[in-house]
Amino acid sequence: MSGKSYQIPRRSFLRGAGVSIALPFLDIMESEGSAKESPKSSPTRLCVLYKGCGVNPHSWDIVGGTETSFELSRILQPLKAVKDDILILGNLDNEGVSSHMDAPGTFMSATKHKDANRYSFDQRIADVIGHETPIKSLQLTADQVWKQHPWLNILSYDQANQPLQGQYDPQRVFDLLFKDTTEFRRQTEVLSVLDGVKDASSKLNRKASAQDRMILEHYYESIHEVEASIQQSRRNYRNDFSDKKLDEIDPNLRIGHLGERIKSMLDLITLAFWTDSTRVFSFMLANTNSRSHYDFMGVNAEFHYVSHHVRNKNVLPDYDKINIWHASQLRYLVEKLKSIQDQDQTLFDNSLILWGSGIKHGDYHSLTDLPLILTGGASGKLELGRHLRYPEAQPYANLLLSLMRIMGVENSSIGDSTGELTGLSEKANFKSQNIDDGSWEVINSDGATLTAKGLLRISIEADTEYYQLRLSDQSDLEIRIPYMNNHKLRFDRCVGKVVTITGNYEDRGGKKTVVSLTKVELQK
Amino acid sequence: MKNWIQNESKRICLSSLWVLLPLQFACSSERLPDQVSAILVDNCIGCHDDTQSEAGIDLTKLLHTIDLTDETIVKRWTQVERVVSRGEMPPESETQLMPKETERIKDFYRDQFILRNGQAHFGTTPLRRLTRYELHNTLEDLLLVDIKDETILQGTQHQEAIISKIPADLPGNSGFNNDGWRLASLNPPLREIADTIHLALEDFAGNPEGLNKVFGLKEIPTKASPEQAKLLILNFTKHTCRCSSNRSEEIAATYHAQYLTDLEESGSSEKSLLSIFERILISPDFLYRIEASQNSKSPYPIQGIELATRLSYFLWSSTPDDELLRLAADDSLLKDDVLTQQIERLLNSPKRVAISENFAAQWLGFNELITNTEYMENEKWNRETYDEALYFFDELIRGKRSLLDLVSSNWIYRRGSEKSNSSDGANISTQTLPSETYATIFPNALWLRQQKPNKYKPPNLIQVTSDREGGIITSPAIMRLTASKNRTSPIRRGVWILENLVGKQLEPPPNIPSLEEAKQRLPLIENPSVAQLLQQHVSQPQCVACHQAIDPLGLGLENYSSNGDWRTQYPNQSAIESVGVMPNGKRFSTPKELKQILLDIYRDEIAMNALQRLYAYAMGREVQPFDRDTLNLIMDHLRRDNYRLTTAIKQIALSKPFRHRQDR
Repeated sequence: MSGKSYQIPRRSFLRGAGVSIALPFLDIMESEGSAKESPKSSPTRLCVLYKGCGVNPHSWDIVGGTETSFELSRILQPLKAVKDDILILGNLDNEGVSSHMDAPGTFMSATKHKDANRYSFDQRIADVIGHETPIKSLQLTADQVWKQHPWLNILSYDQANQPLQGQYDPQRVFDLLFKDTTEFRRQTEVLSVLDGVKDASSKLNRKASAQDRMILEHYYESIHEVEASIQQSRRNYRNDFSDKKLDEIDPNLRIGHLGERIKSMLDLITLAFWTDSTRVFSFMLANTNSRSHYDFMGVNAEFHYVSHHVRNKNVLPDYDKINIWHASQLRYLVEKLKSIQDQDQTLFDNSLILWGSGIKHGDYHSLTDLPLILTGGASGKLELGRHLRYPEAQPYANLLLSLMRIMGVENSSIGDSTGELTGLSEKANFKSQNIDDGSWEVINSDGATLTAKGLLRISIEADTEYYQLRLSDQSDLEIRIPYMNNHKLRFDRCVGKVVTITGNYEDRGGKKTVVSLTKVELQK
Repeated sequence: MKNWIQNESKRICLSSLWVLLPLQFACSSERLPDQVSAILVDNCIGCHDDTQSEAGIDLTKLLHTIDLTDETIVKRWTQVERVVSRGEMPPESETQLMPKETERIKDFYRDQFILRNGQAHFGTTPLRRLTRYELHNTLEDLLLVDIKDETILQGTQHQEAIISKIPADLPGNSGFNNDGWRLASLNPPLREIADTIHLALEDFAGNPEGLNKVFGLKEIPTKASPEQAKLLILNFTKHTCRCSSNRSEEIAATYHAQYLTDLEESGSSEKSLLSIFERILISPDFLYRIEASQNSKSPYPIQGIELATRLSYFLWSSTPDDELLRLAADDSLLKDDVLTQQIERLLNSPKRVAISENFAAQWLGFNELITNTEYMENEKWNRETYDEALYFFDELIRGKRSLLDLVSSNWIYRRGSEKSNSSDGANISTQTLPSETYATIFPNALWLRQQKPNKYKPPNLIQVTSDREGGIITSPAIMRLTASKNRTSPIRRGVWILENLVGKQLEPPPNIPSLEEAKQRLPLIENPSVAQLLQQHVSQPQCVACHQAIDPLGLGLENYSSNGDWRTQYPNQSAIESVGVMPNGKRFSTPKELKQILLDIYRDEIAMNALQRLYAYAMGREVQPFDRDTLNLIMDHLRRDNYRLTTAIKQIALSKPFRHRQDR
């Protein structure tokens, strides 16, 4: 094996919009000999795209239609071109905490309590299949770490509950993927240096306290882990690699605005999948307290600010705009993966992508009916082109359990899972939910208070959000209640469900309008 | 962490390292004395029980046992003791505690949480690993190389500098990234550390100046005799490892054996020596600050070399220099007068900029201006804004000024201005640093000045003449950091002042109604002002307590745009009212008046908060109940000495906890 002499480039990183960085010449991998046998079938790759800050449910929810014949909602419009390649999930609930801090960790591990071990599902997968590639897994982020609350920005946690910080700089990701793993001479040096340090350990630190020695042991333990990962990358080097693949995808590492960075990262994910550098990615497009400005698309306010669209007025158009853009990023990745041949299929056919947010309603931070999309052929284990809405709410954790199995990782449970989800790999034909049995009506009203039963829906008009209770006579009872009232009753989480409500109403233009609620009951 | 300490199994120890916290209280559950629980039951539980939980506080958990390993219980007791001893609780409307009862609570707290078996103690000393910033400084000082980590500012790096890929360290419970417990709980980024050390050694090997400093040689011999190699390894160890000469010899001998094996393969003594040096720098003896243990539950004094190391990492974020090492070798540094002299010497050195670059930049958050793209306006603006804050903080040390100047001062550093002849010269240290000294400690600025002599000048110290300037609160740095790109947020600013400067721990807000709902409750006012809206917004009783403190602060700063520029109108042309009433009932109508009232109300709290932050930074751990006596002692010094920051620094370095170690 011939190696390139080791040198980390000393150039300053080129920054600023429109600056493209030349790709280094990667001839090292075109080495003779020690070619590996090509695997018979291409492996499945996993990518999680997390977008924080939820959605405006009114713009997200798909109303009406059937499992296979439905109209895409406003936010989902960018996915029109790939509608047959996606599986939109509905009615998955992730009970537990829903603060900014906890949403990403909860999303990845379905653990309710923030003090629990957050060993995330992607890492559970990487721990099983990650040894087959040069790099076990990679974590990316498009949001900056907010130093006072770094956990906001962390998706993946390893088995020891160590947070795996996402890479922010596409150039660094490129180097990790295609440079660091190919520097054989440097790897040899590092291995011998670390080996030496370990060998010397027995004679060292005798004077340290018992507690300090435990910390130092942990240090030696991590030396061992680094050695193992270097050995892995040497064992699994890519023998079919050529810079032709780089030319073809051209991860045009523009390190300008947020949009360019995200695009570069998606290119790098594709390239990493294609070269089989790693099979597990998690990518934070935006965290749940994102202070990012999407000014490249004309939004001049923080994403988190506009996501609180009930309390902050006139922000809804911008909020929708960002979410629509996040959906369009998914389309970009789908189309990119579909454009690449992977043995006799496309890369898309052998990928599994989860796109979603850890909360639903941006202002109420509800955890019910999470916005989720699955895509990728998953090596034949997903039936795409559907809107799969479960008639009864399912634990979100069950989805993670199913995704692990699709990736070939059998686990009996994760978080508060109760079993696997049905209906992912073939048409589910669920009976339509919320069947109107004729009992949806105003049960009693006395001029000031009423009790009514019906299907709760969220609605919007002139930038004002309100709710409607659909009754059996196809009329809608309007519900316009104060923010606090909604929040205290956790009313928003009942959307899409049949409820019985009790509250005060007023007569507005000859129509009853509920103005405050005292009680909300979900139909069993 | 309980598992981590108690469980012998290594695997479990690793899996819970993440929540590793100091085991400060070795004893476990005890029964709460009846007399104390009776006071709680009779006076507190009525409102603070598990169902009513007034203000979200449930005290029933405190009734049964004193679980000193439960952090939340310790924190809750600290809160109870504070409000009771200040007479803030029970509220005025309720029966007050008898003096005897108050004393009983205080005594109980003191016995349980401040003392241990009746003796003062300082908790387990955390093992400190070098942070990224400390490692860079240390390598630069030891090897005379130039290392920079990445910032978003273009062109601010030396062209020849090594660009380190070591990722930023995460802050711990102390609020700082040099928190020993946090560093111990996370895997070190070893690959990146190894690469940075490798590059540093590559540069070192090619630089006669550095080689001369360490070995008295101009180059590393390619054919060294085994004896010569042994000596080189020993010199290198002594130079880098901050340890006794016995220890150096031990380390050197171990690595010399490796050298001989390595040489057989490589055939080049230079190559093998560099590989050995790399191992030494990656070994825990270099990357950690290991102190000799006496395996004791009581505090015992540390050795000279350990004190030298603690001191130089506190004041310089770097390794001790030759003078410190010399004074450490014979333990003369342990004497009060020698230590005092050395503190002063270190504070007079340009390397003291570490306190501003590392401590202040994290505390006040202005490092975000050069590392977080969300705050990026343009290169020049960010650089200048950052430098104004940096130089401001350094001036507190340089000019031996009061830390209350952070709130209000008659001087500031300002970009693009000429040095004014300061009229308060009496206040300013005679040991003014020559401007070229700054050039060595701010290499970025040096580089800019050399490359673009007309484009960049560091800010200058000027006398403040208007009501609009003075203190760091209204600096463009803080005004930018507490606003979003195009929008100011009075709440964010008010919260920033209360949390960061006053040191209040504000509870996260309960669900608050929207501004729109507030608007609907103001039917009589057409086009209500921002202030009126906020007032209504927080009309709920549970909000008032905090917001009457937060809002005037933020509203009083509305004259500063999100860039810190002075303005009298909002972008929509409505007028800005920056008048307000502070919680003590005093009105203000200018930012200057606001700052004065802020000092009137919170002077001691601001000083104590600054002290606690500095102390946490110095000790590499969160402030704990048992630190109270130390902190009160230093506060007395501060009050007597015009709250000078240098006094706080000095007294911390002279304090017992800083000079003692405790293993459990």
